[in-house]
Amino acid sequence: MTPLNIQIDSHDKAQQRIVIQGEINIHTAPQLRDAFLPIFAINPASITVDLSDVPFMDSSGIATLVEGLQWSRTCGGKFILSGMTEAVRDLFGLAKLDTVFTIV
Amino acid sequence: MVAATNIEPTAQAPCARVAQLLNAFCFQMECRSDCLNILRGIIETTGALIDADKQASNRMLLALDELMANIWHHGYHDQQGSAEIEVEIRRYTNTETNAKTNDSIEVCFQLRDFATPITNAAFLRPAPPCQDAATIQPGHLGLFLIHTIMDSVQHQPLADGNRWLMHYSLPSKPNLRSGK
Repeated sequence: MTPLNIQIDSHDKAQQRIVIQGEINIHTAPQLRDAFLPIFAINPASITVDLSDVPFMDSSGIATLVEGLQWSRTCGGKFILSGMTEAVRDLFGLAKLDTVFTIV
Repeated sequence: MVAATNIEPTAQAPCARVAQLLNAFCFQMECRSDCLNILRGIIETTGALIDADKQASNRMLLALDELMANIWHHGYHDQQGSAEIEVEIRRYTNTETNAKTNDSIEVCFQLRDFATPITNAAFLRPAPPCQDAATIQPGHLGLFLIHTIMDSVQHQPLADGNRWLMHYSLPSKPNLRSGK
């Protein structure tokens, strides 16, 4: 499996944007978690996770995103998922979490 | 792979349906965290044989991936282990009406691991995730997804491991080839 490619756009510290390329599963999800940690430390007003180049995700990916969502809620910030591929959108529907997250 | 074989109607549907085995194949593989590409190969082979659409293929891959991840994590404690996967594809025909539109395809995945047998049924019980963002616990989500995707999921503890049986059904399409 190829590693995740994660790019963080920190141009505006209050509006953090994470762009992910690759498949998120039990093998690669820890990389995503590691990428979140420094962003949490900044305490931004919003975090947007761009999933438009994520062709596959499993429950490990969801677990990591839930962690991000809960951290943001605790700190009063927004946590937004954008650009979901069909497969990832289907996963969130199957998991009944498509109404829990803010998805654009 | 084996040639198409007519088999007796199943115990679940003694009179109404006849099953025809279209294909069967098996794989021995290492159970690791990074075996997604191998699982994808299995699903691509299966999907091509049954002319599955992208959503069906992705869902079957997701279920296999979740089960393999659970075996790797809980069964082998994040260490490499062995697994065997058997795939059988059957076509079911309604013998009462003989209507082709009632044909369905069933894919049976049988997974065998050599980890500690699971005897605690509570561990295998799927639960839908909580809808409250503050209290969602993602644990057991993988099991929930497997049960949501598959028509049936069975587990059998063995003396030296576990056997998992999962069935996935979809409508039959015309010109489906058998015995390739």
